[in-house]
Amino acid sequence: MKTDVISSKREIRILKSGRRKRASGVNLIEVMAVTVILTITVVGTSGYRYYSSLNAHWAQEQIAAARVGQLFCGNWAGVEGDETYDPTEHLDSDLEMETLASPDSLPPAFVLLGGYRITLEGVAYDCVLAWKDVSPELRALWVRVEWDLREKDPSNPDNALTKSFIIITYVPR
Amino acid sequence: MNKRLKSQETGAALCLMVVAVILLTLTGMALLNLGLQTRISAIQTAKGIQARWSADAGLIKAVVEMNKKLSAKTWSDTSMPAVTNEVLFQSEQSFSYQVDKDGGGNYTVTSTGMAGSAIKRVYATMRLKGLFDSAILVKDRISLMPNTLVSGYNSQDATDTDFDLKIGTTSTAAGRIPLGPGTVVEADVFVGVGGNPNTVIGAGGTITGQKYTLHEELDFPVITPPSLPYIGTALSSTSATITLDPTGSGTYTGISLSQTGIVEIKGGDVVLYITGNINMGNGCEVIVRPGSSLTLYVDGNISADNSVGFNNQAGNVRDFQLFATGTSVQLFNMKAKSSIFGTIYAPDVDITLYPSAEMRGAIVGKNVTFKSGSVFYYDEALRDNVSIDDVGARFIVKRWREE
Repeated sequence: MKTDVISSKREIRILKSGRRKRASGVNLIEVMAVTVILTITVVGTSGYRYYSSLNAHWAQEQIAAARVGQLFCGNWAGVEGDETYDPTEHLDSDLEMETLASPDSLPPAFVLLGGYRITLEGVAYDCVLAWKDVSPELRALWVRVEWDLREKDPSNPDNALTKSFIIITYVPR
Repeated sequence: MNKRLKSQETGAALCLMVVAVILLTLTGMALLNLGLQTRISAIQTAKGIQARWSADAGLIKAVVEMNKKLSAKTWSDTSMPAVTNEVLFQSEQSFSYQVDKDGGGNYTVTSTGMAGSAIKRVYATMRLKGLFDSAILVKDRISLMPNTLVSGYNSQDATDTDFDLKIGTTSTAAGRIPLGPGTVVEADVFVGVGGNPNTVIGAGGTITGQKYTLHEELDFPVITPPSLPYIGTALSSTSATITLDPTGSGTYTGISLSQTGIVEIKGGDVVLYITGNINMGNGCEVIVRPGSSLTLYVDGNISADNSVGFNNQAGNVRDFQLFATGTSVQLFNMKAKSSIFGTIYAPDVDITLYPSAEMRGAIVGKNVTFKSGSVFYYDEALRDNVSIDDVGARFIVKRWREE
C-alpha cells in the first residue's frame, strides 16, 4: 500500500517535470516570436519618428521661407515699392545675403527688381522681387521665395525637390 | 507571488508583446501625427501671411479707389467703392473690400484677404486730409524776416485758444529756416527726414513749440485745374473794374491790371484757370466780395507793384484759394493793401509775401519769404474741418486693426 503511494507520487513528479519541459519549449518560441515582432515594431516606430522629424524640419523651413518673404515684402512695401529699393542696403547687416543672377521666370509684365539668396541655418532661400504698375496710383509687388526640401545632388540635380512661397500685394504710388 | 506565477503561465509573453506593440504603434502614430500637424500648422501660417498681405492689398486699393472718386468729384455716400473676391494676378491670393459710413460720419474700410483656407481681415477708419495740415510747409526754405509773428486761430471755434500748429521744411540742408531777430514762432518746427533740427533751423528768434525731425516723407499732391469753359483771352483792365460772377468762371490766358484796375468777384463761387501770368500795376486789386469766393489756378507768375493785392473782404480764408499748376518755374509776389485772407498751394513756387497788416490762412510753397514785420495766423479749421468738396482733399488711414 505504501509502495503504491510512493510510486504514484513519483509518476506525478515525472509527469509534472515532463510538462514543465514542454512548457519551457513553447516559451522559447514565444520569446523568439516576440523578439521578432518587437523588432519590427520598434523599427517601424523609428520610421514614424523619422518622418515626424522630417515633417517638423520641412515645417520649420516653410515657416522660415514665409517669414523671409514677409520680411522682404514688408521692407519693400515700407518704402512704397520704390524701384530703387536695395535689400542688401536695408537687410544685409542682419542677414547672410548674396545677390543672385536673373531668375528664369516672372509673372507677365512684371519688372524684375532683383534676386537675393538668404541662408538660414544652412538652408538657402532664393528670393526674387518684381513689381508692376497696375494704375497711375497703384503698384503691385511680387515676392517669391524658393528653397530645396532635399539638398541638391550635383550629379543628379533633377532629384532636388524645390518648394516656393509667393506674396503679392499693392502699395500706393 | 500570484503575478510571478501568472507570468510563468503559457502565453504571458505574447500578451506582454501585444501590449508593447500596441503602445509602440500608438507612440509611433502620435509622433507621425505630431509631425503632420506641425507641417499643417506651418502651411496654415504661410497661408495666413499671404492672406494678411491680400487684406493689405485690398485696403490699399480701397483707399486708392476712394481718392479717385474724390478727385473726380464723383464721390457719393450711396455708391461707395466695393469689390468681391478680386484675385491677385492668377495667384491663390484674393481680397474683398467694402467702404461704409458709420453713425459718427466716419468712413470705414473692411478688407478681407484670402489665401487657400486662410482668411484675414483688416478694419480701417479713414479721415480726410487736406492740403494744409501745416501752417507753412515748404520743400526748401522758410525765411522769417525780423519781427515776424507766426501764430494760430480757429475760425470755426472762437473759444479755442489752445492752438496746435506747425511749420517746417522737407529739406535737410543747413539754415533752411532762418529766423530774424524778434521773430516769434508759436508753433512746432520740423525738418526733413534725417535732418538735424539744430542745423536746419536758424538760431535767431523764438520758437515756443518743439523742434523735431519728420519720420516719413510728406507728399505734395498734384493739383489739376478743373475743366472750365475756354475763354481764350486775358482779363485786362486799365482804370476800370471787371466784375465776374459764377458765369464768368473759365480758362483765361492771363490777368493784366493797370492804373487801379480791379477784378471784382461777386454773386457766388468763381473759378478761374489762368494759363499765363497775373500782372498787377500800382493800386490794382482782385476783390472778393462777401458771400463770394475765388478759386484761382495759375500756370504763370504773379507780380505786383505797390499798394496792390488780393482783397478777400469777408475774411474767410476758404473764400480765396490760389493753386500753382504750371509745369515750368513760377514766382509769386503777393502784396496787399491790407490783410491777406486765403490759402496758397504752390509746392514748387517761390513765394514772397508783403502783407501790410497780416496774413491769415496757410501756405505750401518751395521757398516762402515773409518780409519784415509780417504777422501770420494759421487757421486750424483748415486742418480740422476738411470737407469732401475741398480741392486736394484725400482719404488717409486714421487707425486700423486686424484680426
